[in-house]
Amino acid sequence: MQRPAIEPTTPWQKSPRRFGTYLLMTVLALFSLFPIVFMLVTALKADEAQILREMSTFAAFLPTGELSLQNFHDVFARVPFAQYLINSVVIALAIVLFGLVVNSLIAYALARMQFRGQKLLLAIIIALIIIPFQAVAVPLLLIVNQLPWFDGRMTWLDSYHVQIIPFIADAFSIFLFYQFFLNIPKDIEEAALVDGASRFRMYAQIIVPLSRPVFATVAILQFLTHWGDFLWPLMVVRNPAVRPLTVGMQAFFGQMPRQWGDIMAFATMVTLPVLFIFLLFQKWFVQSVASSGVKG
Amino acid sequence: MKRPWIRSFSLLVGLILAGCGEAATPTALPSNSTVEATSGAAIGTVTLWFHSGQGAERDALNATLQAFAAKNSAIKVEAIELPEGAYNDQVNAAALAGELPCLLDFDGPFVYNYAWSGYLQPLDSLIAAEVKADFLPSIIQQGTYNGKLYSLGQFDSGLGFYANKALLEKAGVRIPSLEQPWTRAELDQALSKLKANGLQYPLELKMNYGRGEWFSYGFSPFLQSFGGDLIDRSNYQKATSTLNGAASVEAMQWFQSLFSNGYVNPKPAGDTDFAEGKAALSWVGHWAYPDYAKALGADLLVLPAADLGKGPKTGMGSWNWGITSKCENPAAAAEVLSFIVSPEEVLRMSDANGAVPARSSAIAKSKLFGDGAPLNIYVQQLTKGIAVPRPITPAYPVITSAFAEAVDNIVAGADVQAELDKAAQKIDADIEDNQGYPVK
Repeated sequence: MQRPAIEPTTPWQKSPRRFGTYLLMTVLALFSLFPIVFMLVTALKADEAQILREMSTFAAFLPTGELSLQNFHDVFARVPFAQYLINSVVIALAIVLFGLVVNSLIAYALARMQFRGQKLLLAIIIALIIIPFQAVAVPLLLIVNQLPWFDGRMTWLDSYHVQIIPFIADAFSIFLFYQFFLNIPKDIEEAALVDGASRFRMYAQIIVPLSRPVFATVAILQFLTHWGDFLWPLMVVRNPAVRPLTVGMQAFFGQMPRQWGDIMAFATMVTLPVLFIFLLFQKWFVQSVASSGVKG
Repeated sequence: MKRPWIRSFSLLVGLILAGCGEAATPTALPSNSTVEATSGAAIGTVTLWFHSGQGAERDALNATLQAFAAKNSAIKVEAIELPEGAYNDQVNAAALAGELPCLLDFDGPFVYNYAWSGYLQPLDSLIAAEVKADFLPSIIQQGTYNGKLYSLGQFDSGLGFYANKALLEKAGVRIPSLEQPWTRAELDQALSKLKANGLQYPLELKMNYGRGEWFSYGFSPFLQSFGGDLIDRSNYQKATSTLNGAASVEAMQWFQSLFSNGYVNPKPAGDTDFAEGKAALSWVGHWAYPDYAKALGADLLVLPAADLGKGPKTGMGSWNWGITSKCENPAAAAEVLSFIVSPEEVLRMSDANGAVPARSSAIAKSKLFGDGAPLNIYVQQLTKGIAVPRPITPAYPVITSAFAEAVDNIVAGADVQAELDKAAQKIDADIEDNQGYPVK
């Protein structure tokens, strides 16, 4: 009797193509991870000369030499980091929370309510997505500079609200909500309508609970965007009391030679909260990206 | 329906509004200090912005403001420190919004653009003639645009060669002086000898500083020493024929040869090649002196710029102060400025950051820059016409960025003529776009 041919036994043998795919994915993952490893490792290296020496070698990714928290200490000594961190958190969170309410309400109105100019409004909102912020930054600066506030000042400059209010209404967030709301069956709302529920009640008690994935997507995308905001706060904020991390970091650029250890320590402390939030909401994020087709 | 999210939202609204109210009030953070003075002629409040320089520089300025509060009139100074990396952008944005402070500092060559843009007011009527006369000519030259003085600095800069005496002597290289600087041939020969003596890269040009103002400040003197320049200074209307003229091209070809001959490391791993004895020469400014003196001790030499054909040339200029045109109390601002640039405060700053004191009376008292002091050579370069100001034109920001890009590419081996042509065209296009920067 003829012996049967030996079948591949390991997964790699079964599919050399799979091995190639994994290899490619590993290389791509390493490309993404290397900058983060470089940042973390450099932040821990106490000797600035060593950092510069190793800058263009593989040793830059290895925790060699004297390791300490000196660079982190230097950051706290040089700039009011805690104040900047609080400012960034307040600004990003406020934009996200106000934005979730405002944008979802706008999207709900567009998706469910019939009114004159509804389609035109939707078209305008979608068109706004393609206009880069840089194009409107200067006119926006001139506008906010002339606006009054409750404390009697006739300008919004140097405040939290100038960094929050212009970003609450966001065309892309509205579009995401709108898309999601369209896919929710109208039956439940119609039943609620028969029972005498108001539009706001239907939004709050039916739509919001059914739309958690899109709320999570918008929250994460908005947080990541505004955590890294630089141009706008650079233009409108001078007072360190309301200065966010991104602008505060500029204190480390300018003087030569640059202290890369301090810069990386600062960057590490800026990155870790975002990384933490991402890991915390990873499941939501992946789910919502998959469901809405959004690539962050 | 549960309502916790509504309660949370209301709470957040309250917090934000409360936060906004607080933020509008200037706070007393370390980087945002307020000092008050009690005697003197002018009264009022002076808002002041300054860049976050080195720690010692910040401390010196804070000490100056405290001293002002103790000695002078009833002037309240509201000082805000801005991050240096984004300083010019913040100043420009504030100017756009009409929100500039009364008094601010800025890097030397930006004064012409600020003055032309109308951000600054002339200081001529605010600063006494005898005070002005005490300043180094280079400071007055740097601050003057269109015949009017717009800025004054506490310090100037010094640029030249630092040398390792032992390594020069070992290679048999002549030690130059201001009277007898190296010629181009001598410098080339010195580099060749030093390389032959086992130094992989005998000259350090601080390429690790990266593309930026250093390239214009540090390397345009080479152009000028060859007879070229960044722009035609007769009317500041064209870079073509000057920046890409024969002399400039020759200069940058020589500069490129420093790299192709292996005299300079285009990508140094660090900032310490000279201090560690790996390079025998370092072309850099006064700020390197403390580290070099510590590393080399008696072997450290501070040498003048070489004469590459049309006389030795070096850079000058540094951060300086101006009063903005929107300042409602220029008299008070002038009083603060006068105090900041007083000989005692100039000396305090120079001792802190090691820069050349801006005033003759302060130089006389300086241990680093006085007669016979180790860095006096920088004072002589500044007073004997060896130092060249960066182009006195509002187009300077474009000039420096175009030239720095060209230097970057030339170091990487690009064609010199093509790179300088490109830079010259970029500069000319900017001048043309601004109708030649007509004086308003």
